[in-house]
Amino acid sequence: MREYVSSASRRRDARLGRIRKLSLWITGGAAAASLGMGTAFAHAIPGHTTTTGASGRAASTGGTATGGSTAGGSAAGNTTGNAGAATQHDSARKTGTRHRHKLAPPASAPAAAPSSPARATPGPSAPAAPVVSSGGS
Amino acid sequence: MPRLPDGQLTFAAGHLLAATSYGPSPLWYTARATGVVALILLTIAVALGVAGTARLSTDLLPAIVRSGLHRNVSLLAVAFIAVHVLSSVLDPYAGIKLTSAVVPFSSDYRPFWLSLGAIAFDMLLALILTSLLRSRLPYRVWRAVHWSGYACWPVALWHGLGTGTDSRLSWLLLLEGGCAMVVAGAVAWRLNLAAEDPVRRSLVRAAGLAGMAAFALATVVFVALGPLQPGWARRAGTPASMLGSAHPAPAGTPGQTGASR
Repeated sequence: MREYVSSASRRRDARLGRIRKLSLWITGGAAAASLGMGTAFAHAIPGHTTTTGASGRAASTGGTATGGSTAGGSAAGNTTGNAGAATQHDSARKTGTRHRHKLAPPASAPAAAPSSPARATPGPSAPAAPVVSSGGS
Repeated sequence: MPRLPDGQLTFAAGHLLAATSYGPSPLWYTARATGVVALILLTIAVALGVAGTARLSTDLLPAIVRSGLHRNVSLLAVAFIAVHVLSSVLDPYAGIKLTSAVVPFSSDYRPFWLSLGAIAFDMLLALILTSLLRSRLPYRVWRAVHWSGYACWPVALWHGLGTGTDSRLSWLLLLEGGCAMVVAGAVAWRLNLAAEDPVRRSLVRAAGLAGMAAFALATVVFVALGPLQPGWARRAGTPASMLGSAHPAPAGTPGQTGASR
């Protein structure tokens, strides 16, 4: 009788252990799927913080990922519009460090620096500065 | 366990930080991803529940394991829905309030479609609570509430199709179609177990199959005429202020954000 109870108890423990194991696998799989899908959505859909414009191609494709587009490519495709509409959320984060987006050309030329004896700026006729090919990132 | 050098740790930490801090609102994508995973988990829970009704028991999946999995997967679905709700609420873009997660028609953002989510969530909460209190409730009450699980799933699906701004993704449509087929198969199986009387069983089966076919047709028509068409954001009830705050563009035209599509 004791052996029978022990065997039943062992079997029950094994089954409870299997429930735990399968549940952990499902939980892990769900978490991994969630991460993967979040990444896939981030690649496929511009999201509401991107600055969009007339040239925002990924947005115009209806959210489908363009062939061979990377995260940077997709985001850059949405952010190159100069006259695009920035959402409210975006404006709050625009000052952040979003270095991978292409910068729009300035609307106007920079103002001429005041000439002073201490800091003489080279004029238009001055020779151009030598091109430095190293030291940048 | 091998230890990473400090330089590599810093590099990895930098990447992690960049991944979490950069980009268009991680919360927005979290809400989408957890919503889809919750739908998949609900699908598994429905299939396991029907298998329980059919008293399916195999060597690989004994009855106790099947019922334990059914319970755990349902609870996990609730956990994912909680993350889905929290990330939607914490993301300030759509301005969804916490009450909108449980009170239908209390949100300005796509009110009808968001309300479907609230209704599905309420149904699921009722299901879980009555199941946790099953020993203290009359069997009929528990069973009646549990039947609402069959309504919860399609309501959740339509919430995802109507609210989700990602309904145009082909892989997502395929995934949702796969879930729909699993649930349809489970319901068809359940209909076979409906009644002892053959005449009544065939009647229930015919009614159930007709209902499923009507739902499938309605869903296909809805997707084709709704989310897949330009301008769905406006028709779905997205506030005009969100359709393009600085330079408003017609919905469904190039230049829209992912949220306003």
